Amino acid sequence: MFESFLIHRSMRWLRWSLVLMLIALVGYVAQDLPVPRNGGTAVGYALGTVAALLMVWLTWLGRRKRNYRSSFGTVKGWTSAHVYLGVALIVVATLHTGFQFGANVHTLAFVLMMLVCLSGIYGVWAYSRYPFKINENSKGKMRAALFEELKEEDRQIVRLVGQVDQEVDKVVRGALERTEIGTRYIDQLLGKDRSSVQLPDKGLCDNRDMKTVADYLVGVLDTCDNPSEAEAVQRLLTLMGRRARLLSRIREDVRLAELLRIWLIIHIPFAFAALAAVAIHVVAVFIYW
Amino acid sequence: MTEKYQIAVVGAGPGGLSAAAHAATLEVPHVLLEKSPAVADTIQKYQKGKHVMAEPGILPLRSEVPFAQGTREHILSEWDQSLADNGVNIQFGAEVTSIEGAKGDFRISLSNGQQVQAEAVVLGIGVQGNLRTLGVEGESPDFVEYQLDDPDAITDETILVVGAGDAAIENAVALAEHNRVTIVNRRDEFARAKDGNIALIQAAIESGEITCLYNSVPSGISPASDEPTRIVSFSTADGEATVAANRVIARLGAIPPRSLVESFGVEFPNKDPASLPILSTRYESSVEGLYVIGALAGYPLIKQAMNQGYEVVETILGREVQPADHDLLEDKFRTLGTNDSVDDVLARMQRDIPLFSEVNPLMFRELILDSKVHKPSQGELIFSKNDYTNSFYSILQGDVRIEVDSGTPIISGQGNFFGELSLLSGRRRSATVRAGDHCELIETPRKSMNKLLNSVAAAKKVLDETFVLRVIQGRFAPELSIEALQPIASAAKLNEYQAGETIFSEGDDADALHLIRSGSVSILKQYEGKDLPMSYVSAGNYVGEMGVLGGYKRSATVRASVKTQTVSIDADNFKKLLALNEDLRARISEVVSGRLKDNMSNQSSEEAGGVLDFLLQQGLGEATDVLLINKSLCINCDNCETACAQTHDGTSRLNRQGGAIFAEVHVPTSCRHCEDPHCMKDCPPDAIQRAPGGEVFIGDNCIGCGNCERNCPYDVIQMAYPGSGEKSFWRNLFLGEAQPVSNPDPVKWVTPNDAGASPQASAIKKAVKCDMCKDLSGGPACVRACPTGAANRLSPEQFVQTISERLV
Ligand SMILES: Cc1cc2nc3c(=O)[nH]c(=O)nc-3n(C[C@H](O)[C@H](O)[C@H](O)COP(=O)(O)OP(=O)(O)OC[C@H]3O[C@@H](n4cnc5c(N)ncnc54)[C@H](O)[C@@H]3O)c2cc1C
Ligand code: HEM
Ligand code: SF4
Ligand code: SF4
Ligand code: SF4
Repeated sequence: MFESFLIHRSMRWLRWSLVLMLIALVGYVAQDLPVPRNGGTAVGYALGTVAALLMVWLTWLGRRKRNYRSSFGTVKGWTSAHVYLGVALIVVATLHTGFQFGANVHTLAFVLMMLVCLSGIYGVWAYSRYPFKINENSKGKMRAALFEELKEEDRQIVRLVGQVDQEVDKVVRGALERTEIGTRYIDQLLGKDRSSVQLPDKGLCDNRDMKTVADYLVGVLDTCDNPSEAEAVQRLLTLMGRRARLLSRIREDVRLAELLRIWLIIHIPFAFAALAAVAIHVVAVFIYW
Repeated sequence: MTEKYQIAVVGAGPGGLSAAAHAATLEVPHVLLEKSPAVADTIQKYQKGKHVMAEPGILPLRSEVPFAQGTREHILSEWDQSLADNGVNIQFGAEVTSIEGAKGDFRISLSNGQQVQAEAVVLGIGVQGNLRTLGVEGESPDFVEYQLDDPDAITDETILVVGAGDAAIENAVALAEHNRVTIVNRRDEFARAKDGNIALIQAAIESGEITCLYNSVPSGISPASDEPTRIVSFSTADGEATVAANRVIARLGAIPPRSLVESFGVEFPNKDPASLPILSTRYESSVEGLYVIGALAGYPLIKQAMNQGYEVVETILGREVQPADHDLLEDKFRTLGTNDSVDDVLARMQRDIPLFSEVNPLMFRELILDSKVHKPSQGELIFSKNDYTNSFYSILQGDVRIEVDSGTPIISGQGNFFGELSLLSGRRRSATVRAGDHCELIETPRKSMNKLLNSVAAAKKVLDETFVLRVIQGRFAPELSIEALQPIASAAKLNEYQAGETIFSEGDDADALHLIRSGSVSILKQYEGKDLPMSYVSAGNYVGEMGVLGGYKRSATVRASVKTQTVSIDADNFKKLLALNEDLRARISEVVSGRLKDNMSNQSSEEAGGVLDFLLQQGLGEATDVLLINKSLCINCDNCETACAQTHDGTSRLNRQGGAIFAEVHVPTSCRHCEDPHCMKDCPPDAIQRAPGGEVFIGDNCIGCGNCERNCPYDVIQMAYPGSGEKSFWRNLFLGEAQPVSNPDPVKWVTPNDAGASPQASAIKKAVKCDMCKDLSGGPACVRACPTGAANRLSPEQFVQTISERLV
């Protein structure tokens, strides 16, 4: 019942894609030409036309995906076709070039198209790898639930610090406030922890994995002679440990989710760039013919 | 000195107001007695600014008091004005505690010690009842409260919350943000609340955020002193205990007004809490001269109550009055092409359809008002097999052809009824029905039928018996006549099980077969000391068939996965059926050997059992269609939610961030389209309906009361303003859906229009939920928009199959 886009309808689009690639190859090899193979021959034109049409159609996925009322196939079916015919495009377009590259708009169009295709292939790989990892990392919790848990954890910590020394209270609350989950995009991608904490005599310190605040609490515990306060600090330590693990799980969730979609940053704008370059390429070819 | 009036009206709700205003206009000596300090206490308690609807739209208003849809404030001020304009004699703070005497001389006592005399009494006290109080020594309003308006207004206090229901839990959790809270539960567990709330309170107790006193009942409160706190004492399982607190919030629910009303002498047909007082067509109760109107009489909407207020005064004055619905009924009967008066047609219906003969005429009138009258031409389709409709049909004239499978159709004639199987089980239609010659039918919606069955025991009995008969005939002996089956059916038993209750256990002696009438069961096998579910069987099927062949032990445990009713047939009785029917034994043996084989092959799949167990816990045992997301395919793109919002007024009816996950199966917060939808139970305008395809949807006549939101155990209904929710195509293409990232605030279920747009003054929050995209040609938009195939809508049969395919 859960059939992924890769095996959609017993991979019917893979089969069409193979047929298309085969025809392109046979046509390419079977040419009997006085000149080196290129885009200007009859087969070259045919391949070029197919490739250009394919590109327009591949871009159309972005539109179809947002036609929510459309009952023209399903988005899954479209994605399946997109992926397999997109791979065929690599073959068709490459054969269309006849391997004649240079520093010109024609090659630019090809390079842009290849970038889109390669990012697409990364995408397919990401789609089959990261969802699984995300689920494994978050242990059956959605991100909203993880944040909910974090909030709960913080509430308990705030409750406990009410029972300890003013100074400790300030440090711990400060550590909660200065917790960073990834304000900058690059930090999100790397899962980097830029949390910090303000300590009484040391000033602002790095607090990765809540380590500094934990060390500080251990110090407090050492010098503490009030048993009920010591107990509270001890419990704070446990909570901090749990909080650090939870935070790293959230960071990992953010990181994986970003890796899962980062390729679209290239795929989508470059798709339009490639389309524009191909348009110029076509016009140029006809003008200089 | 007691004053004497011609008419005393009790309760200044819409019904009472209207009655008193009419009496005042006619200059009849009257009094209106209201226990609270203002009119219409029920409406006063609606949330601020609530838009009140004037359903049903087609019913005309007949009252001196104005009423059209508008805000609560506007309506209340109009009513106040109208009271003054009409010169109504109203007493506030006048709670009626007893009514004695008889027609012409009633004596009404008030809680403030006064007495009022009246010739006739109109009772319009609604169904909200009185809040339960602690009733302990030392209780005072500045210390014990029964309502909590704004939990954030209280900080840094020690608070005792008494109660174990939803209100108590919600208050305790909200207060615990800024206070020290102890919740006091007189039992040893929280069982009465919604699952979500139970989980919430248990987590809070476990984490130490809230303290809980189990098995504890407050027994006294110390007097006020200089201290801000007072000492509350409890009797607990281990003796007396005390706690010092700043305040007590008691949420003990309301006492339904029934016992008060009974103490006035008004009779009810039975003990069922849902039953309504016995009334004549003119709203007169079993006490002559005492009339009951409005919500208490079973009419849940404001306009109905107001019309009855007017009519009842006319009746008391001895004037002939056509009820306001007269023209509606006349219209309805026009299809029949008769010249008879409305009353004659109603009387004929009651005479010719035995099921309705004992129904009180007032209730019958209401039933017909809710019903449709059809005069189909010969051969016309009434409903098809496998439709999900669940209305009930009675045959007023002519006959119908009932086509079960391919055999010869059963002909059913005048006075009979059909459609009760789906009505009672919530399952698909089990036969196709076509109109015969000169056929006239009454189609009654499920809700009205249930109301009837709750009040008229005789009707319920007839229906139950017919159900058992027809289900035995349909399942085991289509060739046999109803007469031949009668003795077997009357020896069969109707059983009811709560969710989780065991019907029989592995190793028991097998003695009877159970036909599942409603709900569903799970089949469990012992596996390393644990009961693991192996399969799930839905209503309309049977379990325990070995029982009737004799000499077997139960090979598995059968447990109700939701509230379930079964019809059981024991071995002796079944033997009679076998004797009448040659092939039956062979058929049953075949099923037995099939199940035995299934059990063998399922033995190894512990993981499948785990998933099934999880899904059943998620309420899939009562689902007909549920959205599942395969987490190992889901790429977090949220296209499913966007698709839903874009095709449904800008509010997504599924929440992908919500719901539970097990292994890789995620059940997001989205409607399960339950067989017997809880949300339908208490909808005043009956706006929640079920389409033939099984889709449970909410119609435009929703009044925004929020009952369904509370009644759905899966929290899938939201109250939302309608919005457009159109999104920019290019923005969405290049930026996609924003995911919450560095926001440590809980990521709420924020809908596009809930978050930003402030509601327009005229807009009203209505209930919205998944309608399974029944109006879209391609089916569920969420599923069709998922690029990877992660999102899927499945029926329970399909998911059980999915699980076994994946793991066996
Ligand atoms: C949240 C909510 C929203 C709703 N929205 C709508 C809507 O939009 N449109 C609509 O048509 N309907 C709506 N309803 C239903 C509507 O409120 C009721 O149908 C209507 O109020 C019933 O009127 P009534 O006169 O029978 O009783 P009530 O309105 O309940 O009035 C009973 C009155 O009697 C008084 N009383 C009770 N006991 C005594 C006593 N012993 N002595 C003296 N006085 C007493 C009470 O204080 C109260 O003022 C809604 C209901 C709820 C709960
Ligand atoms: C020049 C060729 C291509 C063009 C112009 C193109 C264009 C696009 C566009 C416009 C989208 C829509 C993105 C969105 O709406 O979010 C898209 C999505 C996608 N493309 Fe391509 N694409 C090309 C080739 C490929 C190839 C070769 C592959 C993979 C083998 C691929 C895989 C994908 C995938 C997996 C998606 C995401 C689908 C989704 O999440 O909805 N594409 N592409
Ligand atoms: S709204 Fe809730 S109760 Fe109603 S059908 Fe859906 S899941 Fe069931
Ligand atoms: S089936 Fe339709 S209404 Fe229901 S959640 Fe999916 S998109 Fe929304
Ligand atoms: S549309 Fe599919 S992949 Fe995207 S979030 Fe929804 S279930 Fe996941």
